[in-house]
Amino acid sequence: MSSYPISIEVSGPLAMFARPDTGVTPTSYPVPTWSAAKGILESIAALERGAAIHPIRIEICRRKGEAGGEVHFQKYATNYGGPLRKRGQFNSGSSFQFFATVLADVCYRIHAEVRRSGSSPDRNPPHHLQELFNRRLAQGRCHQTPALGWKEFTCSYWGAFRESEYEVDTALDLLVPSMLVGMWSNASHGKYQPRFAQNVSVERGVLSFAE
Amino acid sequence: MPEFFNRGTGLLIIEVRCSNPNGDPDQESEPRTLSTDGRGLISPVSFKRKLRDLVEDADGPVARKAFNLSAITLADGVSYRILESRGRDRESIGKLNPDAFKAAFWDARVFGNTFLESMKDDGKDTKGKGKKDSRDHFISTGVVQFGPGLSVAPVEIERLTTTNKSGVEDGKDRGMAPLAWRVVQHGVYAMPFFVNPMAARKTGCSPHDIELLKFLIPHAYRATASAIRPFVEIRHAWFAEHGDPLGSCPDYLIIDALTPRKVGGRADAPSRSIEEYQVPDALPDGVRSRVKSFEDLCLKSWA
Repeated sequence: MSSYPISIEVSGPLAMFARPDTGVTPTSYPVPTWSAAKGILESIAALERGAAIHPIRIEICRRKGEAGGEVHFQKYATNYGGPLRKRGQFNSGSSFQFFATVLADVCYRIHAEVRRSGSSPDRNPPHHLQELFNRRLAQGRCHQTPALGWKEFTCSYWGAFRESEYEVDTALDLLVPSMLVGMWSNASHGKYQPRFAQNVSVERGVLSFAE
Repeated sequence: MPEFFNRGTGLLIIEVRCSNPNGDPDQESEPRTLSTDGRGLISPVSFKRKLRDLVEDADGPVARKAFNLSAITLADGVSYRILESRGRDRESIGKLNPDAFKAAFWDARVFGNTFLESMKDDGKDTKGKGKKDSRDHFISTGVVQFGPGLSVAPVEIERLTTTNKSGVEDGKDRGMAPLAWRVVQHGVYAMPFFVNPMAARKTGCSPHDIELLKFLIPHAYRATASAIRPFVEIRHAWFAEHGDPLGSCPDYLIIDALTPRKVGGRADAPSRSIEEYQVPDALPDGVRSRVKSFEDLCLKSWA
């Protein structure tokens, strides 16, 4: 069976891959979730049916020459004065303050496979999607502006690997006791069914997603 | 059906002198910085708020001038109200049908909205056939995304205590705010923004809405200056229109080419003036040829 790999490098000053257990004061996982990685790739290209993107692994990168071995967290608070505030805040004219803990100065290389998904009249949808993705990446085209979790955390770079500037952070080892995989039962057209993985490890800068 | 328009990539070059461009509510309004390297930060939320305030002040000089421009005049029935506003009545907005909602709020068309986030948990709103689909317009990704504004070099923060001769507390005839005046001595920030027309169909965003955004950007700080923010100046508001709705040039090529570089003093030391930076004033030919148009919104003349 043929394999249709795709990959992308993304970086940015801020990122948020929220832990669901942190509620209204969201805190980011130290690394992107499977579904966040999938979302980044699908912002470049996706098909309605016939093929779906499956992230395989993420390489956490550092600028060449830097020590690495760390994930940087950043406090990030914003004021909200819109109509979704609680009635008490609304009536008193108070702002809602939204406190979050995000990641700072991140760079990831995301590796994925395009796999067949459901039926399609096309002869080879995975090949079609792989070609579409690679063509758009080279041209700088996208369906949605790629973002690092929250939409406002736009990428400072998205494209092919920058081998001369960045390298995998081999000094980074982490263990995440429990981590969200995704909110749906399948990679496409799934039902609402949050899935978690336990004891997720980042070894020598590489996070591999279990199948 | 919204009119067709192309993808856009923009970059704001913002100079800050003895001002607080964006206070951190979690740090007693200290100017925001990245804890990793001390670079200054302006949140996208903060910048969008200033644009919303300018539009909401419909009788103010900026909005009045904008609304008289032919490039910005909207179709009949479409208005420039602001959704993210203190005075809005959530219940009446929740009753709007998709067309009325899209026609009402400029910021919802341009920046998207998450109005449904709370409504969907409201049992009475989710009952009834077809209700869910009819409320789909209450959650949408925006056409325009502003990214974090980051200073090119670390910033140095000055803290001063201010006094108030008349006093502000009960029983006091004078006041003092210890170390409350907190400003960035000098900094040059770069804030990217992106126009993605693929989201316009859902939000109802038109080219007129984007033209209004482009008109407002140079006024964002100048027309909202305050005691703590006397000099935050957008030196350049670069905007490149791609040759295609999906884009015709990688965003990073545009952004990297236009981001200032610190050439005076140490790169990791705070600056004292803009003379310490090399500020690009054009796109390289190889990048320029890949976009349809390129302009500095600060210099654009509006008929």
